[in-house]
Amino acid sequence: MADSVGTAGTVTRSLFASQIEDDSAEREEIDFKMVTFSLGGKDYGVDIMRVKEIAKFEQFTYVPNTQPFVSGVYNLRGDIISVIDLRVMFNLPASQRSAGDTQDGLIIRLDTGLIGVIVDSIDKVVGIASDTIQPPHPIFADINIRYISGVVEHDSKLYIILDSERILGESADEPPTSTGEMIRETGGLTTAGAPTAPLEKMPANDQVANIAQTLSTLTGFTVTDLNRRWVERRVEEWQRERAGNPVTNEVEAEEFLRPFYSVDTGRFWQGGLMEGVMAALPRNESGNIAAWNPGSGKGFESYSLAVALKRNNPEARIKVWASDSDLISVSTAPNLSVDERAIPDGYKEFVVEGTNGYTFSEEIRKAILFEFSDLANTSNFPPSDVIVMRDVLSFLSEGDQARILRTIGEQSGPQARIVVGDNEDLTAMGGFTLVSEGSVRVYAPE
Amino acid sequence: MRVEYINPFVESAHNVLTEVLQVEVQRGELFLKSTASPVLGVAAIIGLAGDVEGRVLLDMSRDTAIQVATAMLKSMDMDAITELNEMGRATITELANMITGQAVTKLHDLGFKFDLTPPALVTGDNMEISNTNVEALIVPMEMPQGRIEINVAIRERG
Repeated sequence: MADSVGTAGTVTRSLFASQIEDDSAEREEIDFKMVTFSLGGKDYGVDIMRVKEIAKFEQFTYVPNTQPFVSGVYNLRGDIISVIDLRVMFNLPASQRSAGDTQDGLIIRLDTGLIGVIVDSIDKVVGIASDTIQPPHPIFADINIRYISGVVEHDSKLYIILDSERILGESADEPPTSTGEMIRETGGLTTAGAPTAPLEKMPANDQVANIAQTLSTLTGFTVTDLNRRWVERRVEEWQRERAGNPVTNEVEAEEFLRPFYSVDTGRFWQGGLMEGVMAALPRNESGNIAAWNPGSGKGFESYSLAVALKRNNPEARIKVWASDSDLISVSTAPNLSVDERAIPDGYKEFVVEGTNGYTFSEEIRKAILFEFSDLANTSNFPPSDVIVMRDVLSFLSEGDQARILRTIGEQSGPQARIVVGDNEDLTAMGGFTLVSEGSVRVYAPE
Repeated sequence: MRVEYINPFVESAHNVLTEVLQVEVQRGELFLKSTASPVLGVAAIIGLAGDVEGRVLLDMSRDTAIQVATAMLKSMDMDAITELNEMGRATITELANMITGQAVTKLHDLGFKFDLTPPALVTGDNMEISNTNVEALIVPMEMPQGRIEINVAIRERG
């Protein structure tokens, strides 16, 4: 604790500021975040709470008899949404693109549903203090002033904050909202700036909430009890390394998450992990062993798991159900072939030399069944003695995490063994106990 | 859905549509959908049984169905249709049969054995299809006549 107070200067200062209840005191708390982008060479922002995701659009379906700024409709993983081009809408110059190019854009949440918006390019996520937002002034008016909810300076750039509901929503004839109103409307994480903010809400928590929000928009990573301890530690570390700068773009988000990923991600399990898993997994010399491995990626984890089970139980019938929502990765997994140097020692008896390097033996390959599947859609899982899902749950929504863990709890008995990511803690989610701790932590349902 | 099953369906849908319509068919991006999904208006459904359980659904709007059926009928020197009459329905049903049949043949060559049920055609507005506990793979195909979605939901028998 002493460490965090000493290093996070802005954190300590803003705590005092709110304690002395001085409204005029300069607050540097970040309580408003926006996704910034450029349109016709100028910088704009839109409230992050309105942004569902950042998208690359390609292949619109043209819709006749619409306004010229409607680019068409777009199939967003099965949902048909309208896409509009803000540059056309505001008569701004648009750079020419060739036919096959993808276009940068945002998916915006409106009260009435989702809409896609094409922009020149997406810049980053910027956090600001809501009281630094200035009301719009006609001088900025490339865009009709009624669509602007405020103007803010950040990092010596001037951002025009657009009111997405006003531009895109249906209620286009109400009087413009003032800056203050807009911030109250956005709700959510702006509580820190409001006079009613509870004192016990520590600014350190705000920092975590702040970064959590950015991570979920940019990478899909969801902060819950499962990973909160890691995130809190990492936020502290990040503040130290980056002198208090928040996470703003996809590159930084990946950088933030890099230490999160478990050991031997994206390659075969090496000695330590392999031994740890083998020691913890059940032995069932002659029976059947079923394992489930969601988030199998290119398949390295699934093959490692199959080898671990086989080495433990040479006579048993082993079945590994592996799945991933990335079609390209999971399609290559059944025929994974690797260079000899990439194969750790314990695997040698299970590989055979093929034309393009080494592949796994028929026995191992037949034991694994790769599926193209998205955990967010599925509600029933193969009954399993072993479940390996490292760094998978953290990338699902809070509701999906709870649903999947509940189903696992219901479907498997206390003899089941579960492995999650190195920085995920299943006991914090309730219903699971830690059964062994070593080079890998293994859990069982209660 | 098991990855080995994906390609046969994508390939056969592309082959059959290209061949019977004699046009350029573009495949959209594949995606997964949870079980309850709206049907565009005309749906031909074929059940699968054997090592697996599931179904294949060929889903399109009424306009697309009429145009596709017309193109298929014309290529056999038959009259165009303007509404989805018996001939039109039979034509769409046959299209579903051809696509699924070819896919199942390819799968058989890979060592997976399925049986097909006879196709059924369902039409109407505002319909939704739900299979409990099976995720559907959607293969969208774009062609001048419109868009056809091949919706495949297959589950291994435990």
